[in-house]
Amino acid sequence: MKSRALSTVAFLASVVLAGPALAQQPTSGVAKLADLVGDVLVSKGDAMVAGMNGMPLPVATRVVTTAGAKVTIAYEFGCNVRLDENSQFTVKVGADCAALAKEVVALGPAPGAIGGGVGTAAAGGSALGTIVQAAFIGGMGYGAYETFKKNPVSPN
Amino acid sequence: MSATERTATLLPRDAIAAIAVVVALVLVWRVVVSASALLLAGSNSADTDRLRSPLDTSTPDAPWRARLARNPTDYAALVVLALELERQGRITDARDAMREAMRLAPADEQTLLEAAAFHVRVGEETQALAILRRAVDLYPSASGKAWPVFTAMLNGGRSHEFFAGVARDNPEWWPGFFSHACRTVGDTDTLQRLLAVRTTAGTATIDERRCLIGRLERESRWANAYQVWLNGLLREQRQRVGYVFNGDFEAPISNVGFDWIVAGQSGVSVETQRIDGAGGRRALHVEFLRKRWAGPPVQQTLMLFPGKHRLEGRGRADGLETWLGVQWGLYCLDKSGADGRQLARSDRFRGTGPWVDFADEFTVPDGCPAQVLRLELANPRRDADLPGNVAARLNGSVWFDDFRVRSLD
Repeated sequence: MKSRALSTVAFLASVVLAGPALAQQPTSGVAKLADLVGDVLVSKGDAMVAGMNGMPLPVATRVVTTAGAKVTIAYEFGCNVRLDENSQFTVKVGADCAALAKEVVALGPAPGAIGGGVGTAAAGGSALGTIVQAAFIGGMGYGAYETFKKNPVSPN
Repeated sequence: MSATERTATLLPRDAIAAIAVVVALVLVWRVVVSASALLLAGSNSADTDRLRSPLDTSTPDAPWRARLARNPTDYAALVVLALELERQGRITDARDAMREAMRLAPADEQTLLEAAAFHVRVGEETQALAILRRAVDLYPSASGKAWPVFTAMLNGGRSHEFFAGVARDNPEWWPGFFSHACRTVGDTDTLQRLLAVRTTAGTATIDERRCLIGRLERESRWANAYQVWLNGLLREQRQRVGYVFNGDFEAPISNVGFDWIVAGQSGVSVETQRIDGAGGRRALHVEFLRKRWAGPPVQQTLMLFPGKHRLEGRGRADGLETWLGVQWGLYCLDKSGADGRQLARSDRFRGTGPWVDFADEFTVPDGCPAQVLRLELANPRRDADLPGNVAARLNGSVWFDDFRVRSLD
């Protein structure tokens, strides 16, 4: 009887102690930021603020990576969602890692870039030649030698 | 008596020695000149000799060869000869002639442009772009020829390395070219990549950012526009980006992207100024000088997520003479960028009064990817969700500070 009373007290105590923790769960985060490189912004209150490794991410938090940045959204249940530069992710509850990864939104240009990385395939040469030739309107043409020679900008 | 002995008897020994030295010098000079010519001509000497020999007087290129035979440095004749040879389908010979013309006149505008056009026609884009760049570097007037070619290349998704290199090099003409490209290149992804290179190199200008952001906004690519703007902020600015950016007006107004945008209107002054009672050191001061209302003088585009929010701010009328007053209105922007439904509005400000806090809760619905917060005429019907749309003249000032939008979800 005495042990039963003690166990009841212990149970009630655990409920009382766990209460605040349970109440905080929505803001304590279902995921955290990890492997953060560069400037990563996280929605908070009235602004997007700089993120840092280990920052807890409650549900509905927006994470945005800027140019040159990357970060991993590490879910408590073991799922990792990777964000490359110029992308956005809204923290959602879910257990399907592949489905969560598909929620990443690219905010920059499509892959295949001028500044490096994967180059895009070139268009057909002849088609481009036609376009570019059209740009050279008013070329010298044949027999314009005298005009050419009178060109005052010639340094020779 | 030998000839030498006869000469010796006619000239003194010193004179003979002097003549010998002169003859030797002349011989050495001729050797040096010949060697120089060979060096200059390089491996093309055979080609250029061939170009300059009038082989057959009946062919269309014969006059140019004759001209070259008389004056081997006539680069203009070489260019015309190259074009004639190209017309005949003799591309290798044409290329040799054009190369020789470029060697003789490497800084002549027309030679450069004709050579570039030739290389484009024969599919040698790398050479063409390099020559065109040289032309524009030397002659800003050549931009009229070069820009369309460059944009055609960009539209074709070609020569990325060339453009990345030039974007990094930051020649004087780049901003002008980017302005042209921003208007004419079809694929905004390409423009974003170019600007990204410039931003990384630290050479992107405000005008370049403004142009690209404006283009993306007009195409309703709000998220991309916001990202371009975000990437252009200083590192310290990116530590905290308010949903209303610079809502405390402590930073200068940049007039770019998702910062405050001031519409230049005569009779309206919009600037940040120090004033007692403001939340920080500065506040927004809008002054009307007997101005007939002609549209919002200041506004900001926001990127609020769907959900519940609260608009907050402070304002103070300072001798604002108008029967309607002014207010802040927050609207959804539809896909065309036009105003949609009103989401929230501030109190009305007119006359003279103390600082007043205002707040309004609202919900951003789905399908409202961007919003505009703007100063507008108050509607005489205070329950109306539209701005005032009547003729009104305003005189006096109004101050605002500490704008913010809080997420309530």
